[in-house]
Amino acid sequence: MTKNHVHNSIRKLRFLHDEMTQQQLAEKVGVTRQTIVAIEKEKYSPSLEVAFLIARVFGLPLEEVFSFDTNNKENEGENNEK
Amino acid sequence: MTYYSKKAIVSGISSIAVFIFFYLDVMEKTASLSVGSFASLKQWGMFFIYLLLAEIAVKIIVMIIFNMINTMITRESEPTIVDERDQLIELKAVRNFCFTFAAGFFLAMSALALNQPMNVMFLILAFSFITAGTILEASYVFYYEREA
Repeated sequence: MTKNHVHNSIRKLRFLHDEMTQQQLAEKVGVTRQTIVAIEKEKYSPSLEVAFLIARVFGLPLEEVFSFDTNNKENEGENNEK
Repeated sequence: MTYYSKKAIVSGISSIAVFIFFYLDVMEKTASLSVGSFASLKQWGMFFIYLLLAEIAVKIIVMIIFNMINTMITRESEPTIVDERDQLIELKAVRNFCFTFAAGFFLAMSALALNQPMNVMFLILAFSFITAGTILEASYVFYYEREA
């Protein structure tokens, strides 16, 4: 199974935004609560559109909400070469 | 467990129940007929038509009852939004259904090519239909629970 390299700080951002619930965030983004749960647990990588919508809800640029784990990716590449 | 997982389990169980009912019926009807006869083929044709119609009708009724019971117990109504993740899971589940049914169809045609009786082909088709249906529902449960 491929590992999810996209990380996010949605849990922390929800807490900082008056402890916004997953349901409230889901309604603002236009997805189901289960999708927010899956994104938060990093078991599902959202589309670019949903990622931008989440970032917009928190009023932050995309890269402050989502990050890409480049170190692990590079290490994997090195291991594959070996 | 999510709403969709519970829905898939209920749907899968109802499909299997309907299949068993019609399968036993067609077995009983074709037992007295000679293999490959026109009457036997007609019974198999009727089996598939009735099975499909009954599957649709039973699924509608079961889903109405399921929604009522689920709302009463969990106070959670059917989700109104179908988002990108739901669509992705549906695509994966339908893909698994198609792969399984295609494999069953290939197997059924192979049975014909290997000079097996017509009944064997219909049996394989019938079982690939129910197996593919079960895999479809199991895929929903698997993908929803894995990412929940």
